[in-house]
Amino acid sequence: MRLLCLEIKRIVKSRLTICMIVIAVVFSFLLAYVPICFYNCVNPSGDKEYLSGIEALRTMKEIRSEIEGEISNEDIREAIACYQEVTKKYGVESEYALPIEGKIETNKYQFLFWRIKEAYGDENGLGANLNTLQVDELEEFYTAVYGHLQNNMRLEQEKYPSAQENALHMYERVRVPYTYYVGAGGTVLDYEELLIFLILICCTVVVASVFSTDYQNGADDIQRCTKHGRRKLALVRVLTSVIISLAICVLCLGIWGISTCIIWGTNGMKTSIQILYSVISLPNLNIGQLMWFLGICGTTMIISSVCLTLFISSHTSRNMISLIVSIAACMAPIALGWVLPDYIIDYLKALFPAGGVGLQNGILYDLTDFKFLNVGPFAIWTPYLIMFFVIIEIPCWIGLTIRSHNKHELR
Amino acid sequence: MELSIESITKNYSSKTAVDNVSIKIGRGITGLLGANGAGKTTLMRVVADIIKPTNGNVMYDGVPISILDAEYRNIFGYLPQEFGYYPEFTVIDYLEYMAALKGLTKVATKRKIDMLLEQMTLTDVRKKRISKLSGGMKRRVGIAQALINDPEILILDEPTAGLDPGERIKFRQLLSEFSQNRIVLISTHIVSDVEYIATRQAIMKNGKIIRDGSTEDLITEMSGKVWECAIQTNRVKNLEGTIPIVNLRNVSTDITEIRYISEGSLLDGSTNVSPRLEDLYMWLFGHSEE
Repeated sequence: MRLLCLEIKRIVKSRLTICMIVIAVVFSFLLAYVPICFYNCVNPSGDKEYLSGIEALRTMKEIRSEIEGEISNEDIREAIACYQEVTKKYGVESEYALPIEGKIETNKYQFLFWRIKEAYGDENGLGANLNTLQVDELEEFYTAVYGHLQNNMRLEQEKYPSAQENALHMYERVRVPYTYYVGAGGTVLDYEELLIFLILICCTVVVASVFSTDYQNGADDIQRCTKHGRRKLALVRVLTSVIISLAICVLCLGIWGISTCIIWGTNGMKTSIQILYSVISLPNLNIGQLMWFLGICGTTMIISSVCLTLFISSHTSRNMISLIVSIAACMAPIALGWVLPDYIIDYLKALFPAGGVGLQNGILYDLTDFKFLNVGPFAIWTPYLIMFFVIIEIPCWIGLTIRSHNKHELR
Repeated sequence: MELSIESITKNYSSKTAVDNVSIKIGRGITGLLGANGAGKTTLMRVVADIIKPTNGNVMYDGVPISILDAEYRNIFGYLPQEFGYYPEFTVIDYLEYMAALKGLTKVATKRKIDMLLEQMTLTDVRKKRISKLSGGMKRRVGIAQALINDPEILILDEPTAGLDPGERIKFRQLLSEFSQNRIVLISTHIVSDVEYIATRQAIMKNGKIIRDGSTEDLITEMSGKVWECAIQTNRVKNLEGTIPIVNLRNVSTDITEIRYISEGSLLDGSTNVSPRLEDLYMWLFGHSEE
C-alpha cells in the first residue's frame, strides 16, 4: 500500500502529468460550453431572425412547453397537420423552403418532422413526404415505428434472421411512448465523445513513460535489484496508472456532466434517444442515461488503452518510441477507418482497446446504429462486441505488462 | 558468505563483453579495476541479476541467484554507473521510495534515512529536488539508496565519479566501516579509490580477469620495475614517446620528477622506488585506455 501511495505521488508530481490533467480539465469546461454556443432557433418576437445560446434555449423551452413530456399519437397528428397547413400556406414543398414566419409557426413540432418521416417511410427505407400523409388514416405512430424497424432490419440484415430477431428483441425493451424535453441534444454527446478522445490522449501521454523512462534513464537498474522491484513494482505501476487514469476520467467527465446539466438543465436529460437520433434506435435509454453509458464505456475503453500503453511502455527502452507507438495504437482505429471499407472496420476496430473512441468511429454511433456482427447463427450488436473485447483485453494487457517488465533486459 | 561468479560469459551480437570470468568474492571490499570498456559494468550487471549471462552462473552461498530471486535482492545494494532518478523527487521522496521498494517498514525507513542523510551530509538538502543537486550530491544520494537496506552484498559501479577529494576520502572511510561482515564489490578505473581500502583487487581487460589478488600480492609483480627521476621539464615531451611514464610531478618551473616503469634504469639518476597499484594498472593498460 505504501509503495502504491509513493508511486501515485511519483506520477502525480511529474510536470507532464500535471500539465495533462490541466489540459483535460480545461477541455472539460470548454467542451461543455461550446455546444450551447451553436444552439439556435428562429426568433418568434421578430426583432432578429435567429436567437442563439442560452437565449435560444430559453425561448425554445417556452415554445415547446406544451409538447414536452410523452409524445402521444395525438402530438404526431398535430405535428403533421401543422406541417401540411404551414407548407400549404406558404406554397412550399418542404419545411426547408419555409420563410422565417413559417419556421416560427412550425418551430413547436420541428423536432418531430424527421422522426415522422422515418416512421412512415416506404418499404425501401425512403422517408415519407409529410404533405402526402393522410392524418385521419394514419397508422398508430409506435406501431409504424415497429414496422419500420422490421423493414429496416430486413433491408440491412437480409441474410441474417438472427440479427433481425435480436434487433426486435432489443427494441421491445424500449419504453414507449417516447419522451421529449427541450435540452441537450445529440450534438452535446458528440462533444462528450470528443472529450473522451482527448482524455484518452492525455492518459496515454501520462502512462506512456511509466516504464520506459526508467529504462531510458537507468533508474530501472536500481529498482530491478530491490526486493519489490520486479513483479510487485510492475503490478503497483499498473494499478497506479489505472487509478490515475480513472481519476482523470471521473474528474473530467464529472466536470463536463455537471457543466452540461447546469447549462442545458436536467429536464432535457429525460428525452428518449429515439427522438434525437433514429426513431428505431435500439437501446432503451434517454439522453441522460446515454451520457452516463457513454461515459462508462469511454472510461472502460480508456482504461483498456492505458493497459495497452503500459505494455508498450514496458516493452520499449525509449520514452519517445513508447509515446509514438501508444498514440499510434489509439489513433489506429480512426486511421484504419479512413482507408478500410465500413464492413471491415466496423468489426476490426472492436479489436482495439480504443476502437470505440474517436470522432467518426465512436461507440456513440454504434449505440444508435443497427450494425451486427454475424458469426454463424449468432448476431452480435457492435457495441457489445466492442465492449467485450475492451473488457477482456484489460487483464491480458496487465498480465503481459507485468511479464514484460519482469523479463526486461537492457543492453 | 561467498559470492561466486562461475564461468560468466556475456555476448552482445558480435562482441564479447565478459569472457568466461570466474571469481569467488568473500567478505570485505573487492576492487574491480579496468579501463573503460573492459567489461566491468557488464559483469556488475550480471552479478546484480539485471542481465542474464550468455553462459555461466552467479551463486550466493552455493545457491544460484536466479533461484534465490527476491531473497537475493533483499540483501542486495546496487549503485549503477548511471544513476537514474526522478527529477520531481526531493532527496527524501526518493529515499522513501527506494526504502519502500526494498521492503523497509515506515519506522525503519525514517530511522535509516535520517542516519544516511547525516552520514552523506545531505541533511540540509533533504527537501531539495534531486535535479537541483550538484553531481557529487546526486552521487551521494545514489550511495545512500544503495545502503538503505543494510545490504549483505553491495555493488558499486564507479561510485566516486563526481565526488570531490574530501567526499572521496569520507566515502572510503564509510565504506571501510560498512564492509565489516559484508561483501562489497567496487568497480572503478580510479585506482586510488580502492588501493587502500580493498582487501582484494581484480583487474579486468577485454572481458577477462587478468590479475586477481591482494594489493600487496599484485604489486609484488612490479618490484624493481618502478623508477623515479628528476629531469629538465623541456625533456619530458621527448621522453614520453620512448619511456613508459606513469606519473609526473613538477618539482620547480624547470625540473619535473617522472615516474616510469622499466626492467632497469633508463635514465641517469633514476631511483628505484616502491611500486603502487597504479603502477601495475598503468603497466597493464599502458596508453591503450579508451
